[in-house]
Amino acid sequence: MTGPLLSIDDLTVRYPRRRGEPVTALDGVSLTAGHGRTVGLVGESGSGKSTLGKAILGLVPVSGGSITFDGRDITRAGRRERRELSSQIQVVFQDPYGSLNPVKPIGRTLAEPLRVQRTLDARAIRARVLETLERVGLPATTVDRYPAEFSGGQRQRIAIARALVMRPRLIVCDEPVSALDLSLQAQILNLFNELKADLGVAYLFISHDLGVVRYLADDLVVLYRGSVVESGATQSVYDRPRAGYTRRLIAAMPRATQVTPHEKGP
Amino acid sequence: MTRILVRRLLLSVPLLFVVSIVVFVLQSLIPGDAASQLAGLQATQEDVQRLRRQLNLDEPIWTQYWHWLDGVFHGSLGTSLTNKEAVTTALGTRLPVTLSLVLGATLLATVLGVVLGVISGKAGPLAERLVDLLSIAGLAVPSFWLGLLLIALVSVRLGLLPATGYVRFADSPSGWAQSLLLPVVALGLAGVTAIAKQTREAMLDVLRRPYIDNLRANGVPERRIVFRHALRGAAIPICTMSSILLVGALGGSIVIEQVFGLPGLGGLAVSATGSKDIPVIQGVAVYFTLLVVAANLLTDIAYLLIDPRVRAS
Repeated sequence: MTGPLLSIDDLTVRYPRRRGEPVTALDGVSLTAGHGRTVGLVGESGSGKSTLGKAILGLVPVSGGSITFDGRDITRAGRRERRELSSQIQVVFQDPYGSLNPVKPIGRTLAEPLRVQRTLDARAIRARVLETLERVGLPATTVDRYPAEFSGGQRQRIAIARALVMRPRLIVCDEPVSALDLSLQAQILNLFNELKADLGVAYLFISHDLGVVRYLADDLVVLYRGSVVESGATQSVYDRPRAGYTRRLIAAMPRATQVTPHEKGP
Repeated sequence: MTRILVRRLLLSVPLLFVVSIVVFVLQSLIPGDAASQLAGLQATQEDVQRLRRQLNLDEPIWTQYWHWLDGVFHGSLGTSLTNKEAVTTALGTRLPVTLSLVLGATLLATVLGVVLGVISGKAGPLAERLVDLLSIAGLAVPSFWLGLLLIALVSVRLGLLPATGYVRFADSPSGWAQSLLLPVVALGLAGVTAIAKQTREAMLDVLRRPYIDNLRANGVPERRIVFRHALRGAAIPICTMSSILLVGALGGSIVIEQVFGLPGLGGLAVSATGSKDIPVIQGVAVYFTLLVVAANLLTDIAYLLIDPRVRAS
């Protein structure tokens, strides 16, 4: 059977509040992601796109609907099942500063998910860690160093290495480049593209930046206030947006304007 | 790393100077002197004067200080004016008592505090409230009162532990533990809740970080997340709090030693102040200062061991 890798059906997430009605972060969201495909998830802040990522990772309680990964229902997977899933689904977060434990050497951070799996011995884990670091363009000496010794871009490479070290089939990327400056964004996006081509990994790429998503995503899902307002192949959504919200998003993109000679001055 | 420690040690030398001068000046302001105390109530004015000359108490205060300092440079803290015992000997026999009490209280506060902190951090809002409530109570209840209460309840009513007195560890380890248990609890209990609160806040702060989300998403067991990551990240503030408690316990030990009749440095300080025994007072002050310096040094070393970022800087 070759169904979709990830299938989300009518997913609802409500955050309880201390007083009053709970907040509905996601309201009946459905989407699918094929093997080795990149699905871009766009929307403004508060649209529920990060909540969707967290629901797939089991970090928020699901109120309704289902999440199916490779034919298996993972909507309410417990810690033990998550441990198994960690070799299938991985995550890269936005904040390259908060996403690494500052008091552990990089090697330990990268090895941790492998160690709790207990399928590889220490030597194999070390080999895997070194191989993965090399894959994302970092030297082997990285393992003994601490996060504080690296720049934001390098840390994001480390965070990507931590995801790749499990050889996952799906990586949830939650705004992975929005904390980086533009030249670094391009480098990291290229790395994502290379990894996709080489390893056949699928991404759920969450971003508020349409330009970034357009560069990477095969398919596009637009979220607005917890609901899907538009989805389809990236290029067609981009060229012929049907929802008014999507049109506004596209119109809000910054455009490179050509500087005409006379504007440069004499 | 060693450079930081050496610098700290060098800085403590002027600190010792200042403390010894301040103590010297302060005690000179108290009316009366050791000679009149020693001579007793029946003594004539001449007896007191003779005694005063014998003890060099007729010299100006700075000359007296200089004599004392000269002695220190030759490795002597002088002899007691009241019983001619060498001050270092007198302090030496009493130091273990105070150290056991103070370290015991700090250890109790830290261990119990961390356990309570973890429980209250993970057990939900009710446990959280309870620890908050207890920490207010802990701050409000004075340790000497708690000590008296413990004696009345555990020693007098239940007859479980000795009310006062001290047994040396060398004589009987179990007797030593029994004689210290109540004073340690009385001195340390207020700190338990302070540590618990610190532990909980620091731990919850770490648990909100994205790297914890990453571990959870990977199915890392919560126990491992709490003990290997959250507590590790909370270790520095806990360490800071412990060292503050340790220094506070040094001061508190003076009162607690009186309540439980322990022959420690605090008791010596109190009796020496009463009899204006200058060398002993000076000696106690120097020892207390050294203990504070040692505590701070240990804290610095602990920081270096816990946090690699401190090591790098």
